[in-house]
Amino acid sequence: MKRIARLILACLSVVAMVFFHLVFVSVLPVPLRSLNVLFGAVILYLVLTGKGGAVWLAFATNGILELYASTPFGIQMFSSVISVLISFWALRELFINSSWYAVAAISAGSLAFYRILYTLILFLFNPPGYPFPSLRFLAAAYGWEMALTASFVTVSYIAIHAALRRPER
Amino acid sequence: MRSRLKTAIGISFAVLVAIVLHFVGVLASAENALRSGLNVSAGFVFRATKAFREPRESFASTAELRAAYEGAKVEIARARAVREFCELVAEENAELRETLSFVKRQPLQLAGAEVIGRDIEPIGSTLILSRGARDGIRAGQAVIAREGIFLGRIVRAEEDMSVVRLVSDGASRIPAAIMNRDRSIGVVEGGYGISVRLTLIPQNEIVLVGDRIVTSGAMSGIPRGLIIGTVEAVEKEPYQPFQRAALTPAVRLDKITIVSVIVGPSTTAALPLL
Repeated sequence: MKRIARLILACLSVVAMVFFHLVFVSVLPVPLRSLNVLFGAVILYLVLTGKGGAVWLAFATNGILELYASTPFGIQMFSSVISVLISFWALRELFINSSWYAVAAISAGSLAFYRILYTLILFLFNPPGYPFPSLRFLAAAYGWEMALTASFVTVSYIAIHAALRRPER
Repeated sequence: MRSRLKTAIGISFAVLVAIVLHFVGVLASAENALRSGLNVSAGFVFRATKAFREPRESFASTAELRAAYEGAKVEIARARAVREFCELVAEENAELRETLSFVKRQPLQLAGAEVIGRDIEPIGSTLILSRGARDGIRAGQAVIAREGIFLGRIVRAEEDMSVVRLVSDGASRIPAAIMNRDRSIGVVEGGYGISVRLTLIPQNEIVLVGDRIVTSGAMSGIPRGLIIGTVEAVEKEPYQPFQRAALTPAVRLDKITIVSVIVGPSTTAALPLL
């Protein structure tokens, strides 16, 4: 019974996260609209719990977000799952000291990998002659996203730690 | 290392299965149900937050308000005169076409839709609409605002929702024509924030600030004559075969809440006079 309740709560949380991402993007002004709330929430879950379940969280949330994407189905989901998986391994092997700068580095690095993989797959799966955005535009858009999302995750991590008064590992 | 490789392969396989199930259609009913639920709530919040996205205009004094009111009255009178002239020209045009036995133009069929979300990707400039394939909306159809202002094209149409790629999107390329003496043609490209650019304009043609840009009709699904914007600046370099122009879109693309999708004939057609 407890397991079923947890599963229902997890499903509702996933849908709520996607809804919040959709709504937040619409309300915020440019350039704050570049903040990737969903990806930031997944990374925050990863750094707070250290659990591999973050990968499945990325799978579920991006799977729902794919329903609204203008890109071919699966590109976002695959890119986010692989980047969160690599971040999980990096968290276990490299960033063993979970200080705020480690969190910032994981957020930025994870998002950078996500976007590189996403752009590469998008480029490969588009038909020849498809108008692809310029590198300058992509760099500016991704740069803003990385800066805002990493800041959001870091500040949230510090706030949650202060609130829970958990000692750093 | 081997266990990590296994994990990566396992997760990639799970993603691949989800993609295959999507394209086969097994997940269609679950996707539609989920989307319907999210659409309703997202649409409600999008409408409720409209006040934050559209701040009201304020006036420092009564005199300023009166001046703005008088200015608005003058603009309305001018617009009415232009409209009457356009109606006269349209009537004459119709008579001439009939005289010359041209094919009769059919009014376009429009499907109205509400915007329930936007820009879920940082590199994309898109709108999510509340209507989809059930209302005759298909990928490639043109989307307009008000009386014929071109916004973008439908890139994805599901049962009960669709996605519009706006002209300001980095992947948007729309063939256009300039309402100048030479009737120059070019390509409207996005990817420059909220503004757009007109590229591939022949170097020898004269483009002036203030010239109107309209769709040329060269792309399937987009009728000729839909207003895109006006020229804000011209970039011309010697020894280059083409010149470019920066455009101001005819409407604020981030303030759109109601749109119309052209679901009818895609040949050059007249918009109904409103």
